[in-house]
Order: sequence, then structure tokens, then C-alpha cells
Amino acid sequence: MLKHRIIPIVLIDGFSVLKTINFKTRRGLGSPITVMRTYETRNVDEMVILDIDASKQSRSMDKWLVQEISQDCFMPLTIGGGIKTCYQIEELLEAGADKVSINTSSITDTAFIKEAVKVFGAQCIVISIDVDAAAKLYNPNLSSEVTVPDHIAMMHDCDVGEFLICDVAKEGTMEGPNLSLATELTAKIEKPVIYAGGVSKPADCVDLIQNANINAVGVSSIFHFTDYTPQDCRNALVAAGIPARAM
Amino acid sequence: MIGVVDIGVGNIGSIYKLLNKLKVTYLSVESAADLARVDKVIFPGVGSFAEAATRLENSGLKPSLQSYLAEDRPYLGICLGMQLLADHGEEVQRATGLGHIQGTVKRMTPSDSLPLPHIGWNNINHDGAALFEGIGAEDDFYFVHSYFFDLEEDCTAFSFDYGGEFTAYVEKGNIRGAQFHPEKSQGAGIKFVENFLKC
Repeated sequence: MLKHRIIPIVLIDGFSVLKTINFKTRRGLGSPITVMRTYETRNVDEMVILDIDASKQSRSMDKWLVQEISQDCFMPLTIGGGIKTCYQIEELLEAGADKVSINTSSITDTAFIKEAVKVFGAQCIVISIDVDAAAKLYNPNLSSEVTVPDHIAMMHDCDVGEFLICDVAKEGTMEGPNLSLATELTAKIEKPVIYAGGVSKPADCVDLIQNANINAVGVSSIFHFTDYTPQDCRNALVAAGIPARAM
Repeated sequence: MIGVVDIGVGNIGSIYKLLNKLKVTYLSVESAADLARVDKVIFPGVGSFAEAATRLENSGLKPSLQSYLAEDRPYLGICLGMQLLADHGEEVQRATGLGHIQGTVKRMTPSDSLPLPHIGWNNINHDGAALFEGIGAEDDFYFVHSYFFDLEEDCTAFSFDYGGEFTAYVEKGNIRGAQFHPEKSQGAGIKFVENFLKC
């Protein structure tokens, strides 16, 4: 039986880990290597690392940093930030990434997404979509009239492998996810979905999976700032009868 | 010497890391001459079957890899490296594989409209033999794929469950294939590769 995943989402600014609130207020958390090692010892299901300044600064995530992060990492690793070309994807995979997460370019360049799926396979391409409180696309790097449902439909046409949906209004707040938004956004998705935004306790992961079409919950703040561990979240899933990796 | 086949598709770095951790020396196999220098082969890969089949043809490695397999020398194919053992693949367009184990790589058709790709951790219905020695029935492995090896030959095979039973592992003599990614499966995966290196 396939297990539901709990995925720590680690944001970096190109160098060090940080945690944002609503993608604005920033708090530094130090070395990505240390953070990764902690998660590795905790046997997390998977890890997503996003360089949130890469697109804005017109660069891709540093492949040497990826190589260093992935050195002792024996779990699936998704890397995102500023990816615009297949060559960048190839470099990141060589450096130790298993999947890449693409946000801005998926809005501006669907031909690139199709090409990436063809070359690397659908399973390698994760489309990251940030959504604001009004259920509109949130992307400070560009102004786009595309609606979230249209964008999701377009990405289905490109046959991408997975979606990473983030509720920006809840992001970093630790006040509980917006279940109705999660349900609405994921209803039309026919691919695996990682959903992030607002998890305040392990029971929130249970609520998200039971109420919305979600395969994996992206969690960040409560692992950085509270006593909760990824295993607490997985135990909560198991206790609720949801398949998860028991340790 | 362990050879790791590199035709430029997939997560080759992850395999190198695992071999480094296990402190074994390895050679990146990119040509027939490289293949002649190794006594065990790991063929990892993610991506589409058709693309990999084309790259395998273009690399000039295909005939020597086929004779390596025919001699029944130790081989571990991971994901695409397992699927390429088949006669044909149907991903993107119909393409020809190494043809060592009869069967076709087809798109999975899970029931209950479960989504594809099949991504995440799943347990394998194995009997604890061979490469699964020391690995529990409840241990999960990491999968990420939409296509599976539909076997048409009677050989040792274990399945996983995802709205139906699909091939997780196949073994014919010394030739072995894993649909899952041992290099991404933490403890159980490391054990699995260690078992291959020992055999």
C-alpha cells in the first residue's frame, strides 16, 4: 500500500535556510547542510528545497550547494528555484536532485515544461503553484492573468508528474491550513499533490488528507520552531487509519 | 570493480553517493571498453523509456551490454535500468529494449482512479530471499514511475500493490531489476544494494 508522505519544505536564499511568513517576513535558520542532516537522521519521507530568490535574481539554484546538501542524503530530494532550461535540470540531477520543482517558468514557458517532461520523464517534473487568499496565482516575479484552474489544466496537458501547492496566506503562520481552499484547489488535479501552508500540529496533516485530494503534506515551520517531528505527523496519520511510514 | 552505466539519463549522482557510502570503488561505464573492465554492473536511470533506448543505441553500448547479460554476469537495473531489460517499451513511443527478459513496459492502470505517477513509499510482497535478505516485509521502498514491466516470462518476481499488483522486482539468474529506487530508500535500500554487492 502506498503511504502518504510528510515532506519538510526547506527554503533558502541561495546560501542559508530561512523561514518566511506569507513569503515576506524572513527569519534565518543557518546552514542547509545541518538542516538536511537533521532530517536525514529522522528518516523523513522526502525533502523539498526551494531557493526563493533564484527567479528574482535571474539565477538557478547553485549546483555545488545541491551537491553538498545531497552528499549524505539517502532520501528523495526535490530542488527548485529559477529553473528555465533542460541543461539546468541535467546539472541539478547530476548534483544529486531526484526531481525538480518549477514555478515561474511553468507560467511563462509551457514549451519548456513539455520538453522537460519528454527528456526527463513526467516523474521528474514537479510544478509548484503558489496561491493567494483570493485563490489567485501568487508570483511577485511576473504579472499573469492566468487563473489557477487554467494553469493546472495546462500543466495536465504537459503531463507533469506532481503538483506542489502552497497557500501563501497561511504559509509560515502555523495557524492551521485553510481546508476549504485546499479542497477547492486540489479537486481537479489528477496527479499526486503535495500541499503546504499553515500546518500547526500533526492533526492538521490528517485533516488535509481526509478532506482534500492530497497525497503528501508539506510542512516547515512546526519542524523548525516547535517540538513536533516528521514522525509525530506520520504517527498521527497512522492513528487516524491513513497509511504512512511507521518507524 | 563495479560499473555504473551512464547514458546521461537520470539520477546517476545518487548511485555514486551510495557507493561512496559503502566504500566501494566504481567506474562510470560509457563505452564497450569500460564495460570490459568491470565485473558487476549497476544501471540506474529515471526518464522515459524511448529516450533511454535511443541514447543506449547511440552510445554504442547496447550490443556489449546484451552480451554481458547473455553471459549472466551480475547486473542490477534500477527503474529504467530494469525496464530496459524488456523487449519493448511503450512510453512516449514504442521502442526496443535490451530484450533480455520477455515482456513489455506498459503504462500502469491502477484501479480506483489512483493518480499516476506512482510516487512515494510502498512495501513489496517479497519472500526475504536473495537481495531482500535482512529486509522486513513491512519495510517501504521509494517508487517514482508511471510505467511497469509487464513480464511475459516465468522468472522470480515480486510485486507491489497500487490499485492492482505491479512488478517491483525481477530476477533471472544473475540479472536483477528493481522498479523502486534503493538509492533513495534509506536503510532498507542501502541493505538491498549491499546484498547485491555481496552476491
